[in-house]
Amino acid sequence: MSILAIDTATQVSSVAIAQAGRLQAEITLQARLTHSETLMPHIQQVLDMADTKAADLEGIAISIGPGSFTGLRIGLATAKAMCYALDKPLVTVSTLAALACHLPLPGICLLPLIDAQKGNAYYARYHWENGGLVAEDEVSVGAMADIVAGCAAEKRPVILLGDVTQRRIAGCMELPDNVTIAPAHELMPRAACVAMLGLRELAQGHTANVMDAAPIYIRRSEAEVLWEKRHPESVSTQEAHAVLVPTEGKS
Amino acid sequence: MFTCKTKSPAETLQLAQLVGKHIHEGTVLALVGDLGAGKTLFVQGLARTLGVEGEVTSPTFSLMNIYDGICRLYHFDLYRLETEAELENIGFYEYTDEPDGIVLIEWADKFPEALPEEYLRIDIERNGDEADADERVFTFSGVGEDNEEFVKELEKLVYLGH
Amino acid sequence: MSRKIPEEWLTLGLESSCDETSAAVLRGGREVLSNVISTQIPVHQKFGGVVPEIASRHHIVNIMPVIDEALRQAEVRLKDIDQVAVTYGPGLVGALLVGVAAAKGLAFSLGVPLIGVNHLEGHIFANFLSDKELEPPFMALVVSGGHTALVHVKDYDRFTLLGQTRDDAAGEAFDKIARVMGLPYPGGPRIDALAREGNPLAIDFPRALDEKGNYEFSFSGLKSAVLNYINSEKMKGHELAKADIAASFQHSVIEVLVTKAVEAAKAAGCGRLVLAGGVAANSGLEARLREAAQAAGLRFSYPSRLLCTDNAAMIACRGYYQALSGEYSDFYLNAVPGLGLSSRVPDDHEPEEG
Repeated sequence: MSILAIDTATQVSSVAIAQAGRLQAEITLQARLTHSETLMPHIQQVLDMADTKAADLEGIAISIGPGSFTGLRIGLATAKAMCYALDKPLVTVSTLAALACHLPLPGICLLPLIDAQKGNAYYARYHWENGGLVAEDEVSVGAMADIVAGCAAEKRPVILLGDVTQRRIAGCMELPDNVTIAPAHELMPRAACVAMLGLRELAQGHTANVMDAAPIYIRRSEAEVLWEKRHPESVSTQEAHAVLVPTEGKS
Repeated sequence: MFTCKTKSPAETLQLAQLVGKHIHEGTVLALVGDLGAGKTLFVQGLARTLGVEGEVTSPTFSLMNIYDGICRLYHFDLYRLETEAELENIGFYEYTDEPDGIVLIEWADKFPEALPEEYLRIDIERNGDEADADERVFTFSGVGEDNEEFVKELEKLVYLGH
Repeated sequence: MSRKIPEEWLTLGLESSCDETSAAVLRGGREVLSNVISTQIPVHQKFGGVVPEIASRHHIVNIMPVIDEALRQAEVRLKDIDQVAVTYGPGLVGALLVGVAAAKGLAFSLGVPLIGVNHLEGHIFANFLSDKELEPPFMALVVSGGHTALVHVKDYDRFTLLGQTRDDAAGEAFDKIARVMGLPYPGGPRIDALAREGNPLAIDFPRALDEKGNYEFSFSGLKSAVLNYINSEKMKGHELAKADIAASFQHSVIEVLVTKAVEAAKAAGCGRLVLAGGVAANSGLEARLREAAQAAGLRFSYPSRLLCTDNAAMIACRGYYQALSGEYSDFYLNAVPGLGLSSRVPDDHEPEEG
């Protein structure tokens, strides 16, 4: 029983067909802002490649954000419409959690980053324990330079993931000794990861409501409110649109 | 930064053509000027020079138009937007952060903090006199090293041409 | 493809180009079985949860409920749908993309054709739903927020674009003048209301592109003239005669639209003039056009209030007729926010002249 998994949250476009324990087919490529044109053809292709009919799918898993508003809408609208027409369940997977799936090794901190523009990124910390993925905190927004510097206080290795790390961190800033960027083939979002987490959600019956599922958008202003709530001691007197600056060592 | 004048819409188009011939891909161009100053006209001239064949009209209603010429052109008009949330909602930051083409923003002064770190700014002012109603004063300024360089280059070209 | 005859085809229409999310079911080309628009029906309340303040703009949240409601009201099952028609432009790109993606998802899953529809053509076809007996040929004046155009509709699949906006559309000019006069959004209806109290002949604003036989529209010149007038009055310390300005401005816009529309209809030998688009709701325009058409011996049609606004039934209607001519889209269909009108000829005919 296979599922279709979709990730259009970033510049990387990815679709996959997978079963528990087996990735059947996947198409992953960096498609700059053309998800609207290529997503449906890719879905057709990957189903053909996996020799699966849409009607035989067990469900559809979608990467729900945070990420590009445009990309997220395209992916979710497609997934919802398909689930509705095929009468199959929809499961949503955090885009950051899917990235953290790349390296299921105990004892390290996985720190996926998604471009939030202007040098900022959405991020959250994860680690693997007893074969399960554990989220250590909720999604936040911060300046990449500060996020990276803040890792120095971690007493374990930290691995950065996400395609934005290639563009904005690698070669652009000094990394603390315990921090590395995942290799190129591991740091991109992949629908295979969305599928893995999606299958678990499905097995546990955690399905989403096709009628009102919405992407996870963290607006600049909301992000600031969130930040201030969690860090009342560092509320600045700057204007509402100021870039968030996490204090060192704190998440 | 430098200033130059155009005496008619035709001259404005010529100026736009000159800019279009030399502008670099990846540039964000912020157009500032009152209603009727000629922002859209300028963009039309620029777009034609960049090989856009179809219509180039004011994106006041659509908020953003996308054209295909020798590179992609993203044409924004911030006139109708009221809040930052709306700006974010249309993916403005995603298109202006390291653009894969050229970004043109009309009414850029509506959200000055939303502009990227580096951009080329063009201010268009009309002459207050009724007699010279068609005259426009263009002020070019560059924010960021590459744009400052470009403005200097442009200044030479404009004064060579006149 | 379905074995049904076209009159029995069920077309699901989707429209999300601007503020409204809409879905509709049409039987054949004219029978509206349902036409659901998100702001008019509290679909978001149906499924619980907190109602966001600008719910009508959240297409991604509205899209499935409106589709579901449209099917329910039409008493039709999704698997009975024969084709899916969707607006792919013009409009707000973020909004369009939701409709297009959903349409593709549905069409692919159901194994039925997808038809990408031009929203402006949809407005023209809204007239076929308001008046079931209406048939081409006729001259259509399309006036929407972002577009102004004259289209000679010779047949369902054959149009000649005589002229459209070169710069500011009529609707935009209304909004901008309104703003300069300090009137709140939306400007169009405010100017319309104010104009009724003013003298349309008080100020003589110029009309651009006045030459006979020129069906292009250019309102930026008129917009500039009004702005210049307002500025100069302010500089002279005069108080603005807002009602007169509104009336004179509206009069100029309407005169240009009406004159060109009637001229075009007569030159093309059309017996009927049709109004289309959201601005068609402007009372002054509709009344003046009706009057001018009558004076010129032309029949006049315009859509009902509901069908003037953005709605999916008109999209389904246009989609139906596109399907009849075999004009379908593939799954690479993309949203085109700046899409305009263009002349159309059916593939198997000779190219149009002029």
